[in-house]
Amino acid sequence: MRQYALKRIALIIPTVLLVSIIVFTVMRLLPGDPALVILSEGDATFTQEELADLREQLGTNRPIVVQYGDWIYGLVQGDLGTSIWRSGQPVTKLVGERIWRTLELAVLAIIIAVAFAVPLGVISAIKPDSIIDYVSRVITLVGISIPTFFAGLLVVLILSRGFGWLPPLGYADLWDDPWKNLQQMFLPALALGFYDMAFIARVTRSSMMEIIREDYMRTARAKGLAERIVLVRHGLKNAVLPILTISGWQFGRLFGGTVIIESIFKVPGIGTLLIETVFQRDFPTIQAIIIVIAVSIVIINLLVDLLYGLLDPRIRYA
Amino acid sequence: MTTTNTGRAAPGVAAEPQLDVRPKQGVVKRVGAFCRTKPLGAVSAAIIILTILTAILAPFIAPYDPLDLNHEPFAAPAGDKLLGADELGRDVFSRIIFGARVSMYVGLASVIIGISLGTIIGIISAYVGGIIDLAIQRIVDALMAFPAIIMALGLTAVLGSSVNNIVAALVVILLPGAIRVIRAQVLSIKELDYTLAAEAIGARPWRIMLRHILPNVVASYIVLSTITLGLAIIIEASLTFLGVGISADIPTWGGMLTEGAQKYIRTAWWLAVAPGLAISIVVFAINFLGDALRDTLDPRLRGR
Amino acid sequence: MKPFILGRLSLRTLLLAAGVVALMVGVACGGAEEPAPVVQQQQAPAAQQQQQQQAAAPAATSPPAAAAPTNTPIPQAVAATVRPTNTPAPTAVPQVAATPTPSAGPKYGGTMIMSAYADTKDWDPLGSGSLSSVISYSQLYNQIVQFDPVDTAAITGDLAESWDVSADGLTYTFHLRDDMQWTDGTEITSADVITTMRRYANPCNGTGRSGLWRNYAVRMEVVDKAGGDCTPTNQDSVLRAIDDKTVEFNLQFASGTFIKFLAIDYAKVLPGHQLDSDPNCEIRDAANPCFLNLGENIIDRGTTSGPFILEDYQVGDFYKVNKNEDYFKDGLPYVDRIEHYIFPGTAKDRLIAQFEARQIDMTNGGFDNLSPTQKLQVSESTNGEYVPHPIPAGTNWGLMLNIKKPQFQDHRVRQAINLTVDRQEIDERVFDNTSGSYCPLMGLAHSNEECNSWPGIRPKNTAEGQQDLADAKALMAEAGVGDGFEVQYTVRQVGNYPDQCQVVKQQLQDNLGIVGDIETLPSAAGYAKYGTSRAADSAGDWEISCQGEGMVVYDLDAIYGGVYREGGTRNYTNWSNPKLEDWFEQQKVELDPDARREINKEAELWLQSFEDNHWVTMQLGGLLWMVHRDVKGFNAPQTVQYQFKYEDVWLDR
Repeated sequence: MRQYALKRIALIIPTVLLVSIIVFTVMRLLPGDPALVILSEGDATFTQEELADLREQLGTNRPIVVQYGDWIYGLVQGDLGTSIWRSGQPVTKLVGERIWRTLELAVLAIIIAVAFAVPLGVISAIKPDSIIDYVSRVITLVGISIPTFFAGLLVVLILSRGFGWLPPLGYADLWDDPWKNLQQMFLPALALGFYDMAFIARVTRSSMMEIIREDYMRTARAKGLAERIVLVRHGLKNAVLPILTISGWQFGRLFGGTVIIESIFKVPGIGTLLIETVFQRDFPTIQAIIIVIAVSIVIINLLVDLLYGLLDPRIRYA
Repeated sequence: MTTTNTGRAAPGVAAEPQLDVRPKQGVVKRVGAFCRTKPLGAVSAAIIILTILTAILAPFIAPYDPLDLNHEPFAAPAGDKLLGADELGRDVFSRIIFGARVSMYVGLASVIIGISLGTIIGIISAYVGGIIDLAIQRIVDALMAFPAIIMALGLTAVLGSSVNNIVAALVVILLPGAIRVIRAQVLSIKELDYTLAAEAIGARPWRIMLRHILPNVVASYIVLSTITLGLAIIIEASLTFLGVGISADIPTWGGMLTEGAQKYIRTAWWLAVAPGLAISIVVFAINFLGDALRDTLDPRLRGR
Repeated sequence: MKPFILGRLSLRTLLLAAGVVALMVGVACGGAEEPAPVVQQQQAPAAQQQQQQQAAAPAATSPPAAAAPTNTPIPQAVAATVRPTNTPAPTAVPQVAATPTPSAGPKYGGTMIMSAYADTKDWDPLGSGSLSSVISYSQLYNQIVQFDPVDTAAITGDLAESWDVSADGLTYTFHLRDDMQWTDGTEITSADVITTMRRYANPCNGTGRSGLWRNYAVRMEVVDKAGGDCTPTNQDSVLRAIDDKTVEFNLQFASGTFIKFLAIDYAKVLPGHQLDSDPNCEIRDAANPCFLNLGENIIDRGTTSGPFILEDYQVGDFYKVNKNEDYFKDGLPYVDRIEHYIFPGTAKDRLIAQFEARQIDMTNGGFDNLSPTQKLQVSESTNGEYVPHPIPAGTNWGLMLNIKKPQFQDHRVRQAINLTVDRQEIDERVFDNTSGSYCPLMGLAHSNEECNSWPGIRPKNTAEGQQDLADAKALMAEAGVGDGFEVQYTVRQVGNYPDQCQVVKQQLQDNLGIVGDIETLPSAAGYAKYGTSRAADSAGDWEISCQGEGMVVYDLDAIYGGVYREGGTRNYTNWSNPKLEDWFEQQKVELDPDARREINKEAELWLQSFEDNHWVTMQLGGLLWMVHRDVKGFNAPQTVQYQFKYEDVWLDR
């Protein structure tokens, strides 16, 4: 196990390196350079000379390998450079401030998703092909059939039109003002978690259905244990594993979803920052955001895998 | 390394291979059986087939040219304009009909190319093993570190957002997952008696892959394709929301939904509801069919 | 085959909803027909009248009224005297003029909630060309002169209480007020003006918008720009301090436009002593900017002069300012606090929801990611609580033709396109009839009335308009492309550019058989593509496009510079014509407004004839500035680029 873990951890290095190369290359292949975007904001007037000057200043006219080397060198030291668009703003600060908000949103979404999904999935598994099962399956299928952005827009519409309420403006930190923070974060988390809720409910249902048929469940029942105890102690306990795994893997998707949901609900996380900076061609910031997301996903996946191995006695690592 | 830890393949996916032990039945009989045991799956299949037909026959079905400014801007749904008109006065119903083309084309093309390519690479990776496998798996790891929507955003921003470029971007997104699942499955098939036997009698690798392994991943292939088709359609729709969608003069459900929902849902709800329903119904049907196919073809893929 | 999407169930739902729809449409149609948005009541009668004129549909003429002020500061006859017209009483004038309300008078206090369309790019005006930036820093500093808050086309004093222009029009002398200090108590003097303006004038710094005035001033020379020694060698001949309160600027040629560029909100005067304290300030370096470029630094240690003081700034989310209690303009500002919340383009829907919930007092500028249609709809759905104030001179919208491409090399083809484009339909379908002018020179030469009878511009539903369409076809035939041809439209996925091209494409297709696809690109990619045709030896990768040129000031120099001169921002093919160059040079130095107008009229007729031209003017696009009716003292500016100090507005609650 330890050897396996070490090997997995070691393999992160080539993966992250590859990720960094992909990110960097894709950025440089983008049509339209930052200097051009800066000068033409608001459809303004500028001369070709000014454009050349700005490129020089920003260093975007240097050879690409030099730029990559510079970036990696900084990255290793924890310096993500300075934003091109927001002149002088250190990217580390810009991204560092916001990553926690996005993380909070993602965690909240997962909590909401699991809280709804597990009961739904279990009930559905116990009484397959019942009305409850069908209703819950339809709900979960709807969940994965609606584009996240549409769900988000509908939530805003229902809130403002139906209840005349909108989350308060101006992001409040969870530690400074938890009540305001939750008002701002709960609904986006709900809209975001809807898809994952559906997904996790489906996994719960199918794992439970498999487990219910297992021998040890029959044995437990034969021993005369109450059905509720059988289900929770023997059934759900064993189903937790795949649920946990899937929830972990869903994190990757959640990061993607935050890009959309944050925009709709005006949550100043890295999702909104990513969209803005993609259009502003703010290379250092985009690179930083994507590398942070990618590394988080790699690490979460690793943890999930290791946890899985740790918890499931059936798995032995060669 | 056992097969279970190979990544995102859901637990149980590759634990045992799917043996091709089903008795050979006539296609008609099997379809009939499917309809009886999975009536909703059959309805879903019908919906999808209808959508594909609509897409193909769009010019004959649509009452108007989807680009012509036929109506007053924001005309409400009424007799001769079933779903009203958009902000420029184009017929929404006709645009939905033509929009089916893009959604279905993008979805089907990317899934067929992506999953097929993924299957081939997955088989090679697992069967050949060694350094090639290691290299492919690192690339897959790296690609899977990007959330799909962010990957799509980046790739379409680079490639430009023509229909085929979006297909290309989706292929890159679907590839790593397909490679993972197929590879895991092949790894276990590889160790089975009949594969080993074939190797023992000196069958060439490509022959083993073609004759013994490929047929055994067909079920996974079909199920994977159905499951990812819905995802592909939704990602395509979301791209317009992010501002990198398909060109403005091609009617797409995603484009219409974004415009309608983001700008006019409060004043002209039909502009959002029509494409929203279209996307949701089709994706819903695809997912339902995927479920039914999974249960029928490959119960082991449950939970994916 | 009946389409499945409209199966029985959804059809029934549709029928059910039909009643609701009919109701909504009834409301929608009723309001949409109104010719112009309601104008606020509390405005001075004169201003109100002017606004109504500007708001009225293109048919109504406004140019004489709107354009006259552009040429106001005519230095000619007046020899070295204080110009009384431009220098209202030395005391706090603006607020007196700004609030001639019939009711009690301005109220003090309250917090205003505003929306911003994007985050601040730079808090330092040096080299700044960004509208979102100027909006945020404008409340913190003052200019030498400013546009008048009531008569928004006229120029009045800000730091300066008066100014003189020499008889030859080449020297401007500004007299600063006596009683001004920075928030740290330091006196505001001509030294501050010199230190700040020197940065804008230095050729080592980009022009941006804060330095647009330097195109008129004597050029500043430096020791060795290429070598990196940016020490000015002729600073005193550009600008100098005569005494503590007097500053002098020297021009290359007499021009009435110079002072307008000094009056826009970009040309801020910063605290000289703070600029001197940071060696990074003098010359802009994107990697090591002046410390005043970061909002956090301004909060921590910046000293400012303006009506408001920056209190809090959260990148990408909001900035909040508090009233400057010691503001040198006595009695200003009125409100205690302004909170600006940023709603980027992807949060359009949220912004509309915010309006509908009445949780916003005004947008903090005329540009806000919403289309005219959406704004009119908001105004309607809030029962007129939100008033869309028209900003007449927003953008010069045009259809760009790549004259390097074979399709457009024949001028008859371009002529045919110009005749075919149906301005009125574009205006109606895309801009909700908010156009200010269809004239190539945007109403500053010929009046709208005059232009509206010209071939190509006159309505297509008249006999003359039909004649234009027929003439266009004939021209195409003459050029040998009677059956039309194929083109590729390229358009940035920003604002309503795609919609504009959509409508134009249909028009060209129907009348001339010019067909093609529209390629939409993200903003930056679009600019990059347009840029490919700049090189002399390259035709570029685009053929035809819909594009706008944002107007900084409503002035002819800006129109020529943006579209019709070599190197102009929107002149991606570097089109130029000696005839037009002549006219440009003549009118630039012509100080008599009538004579200047005559020269430009000649140029405009020539442009519209399309004997040689690359830019099919669609219209002068207005913008709508959304303001709640409880906000008083607000008068919309002429262009979207100024009036962001908010010192004259107050809340009537």
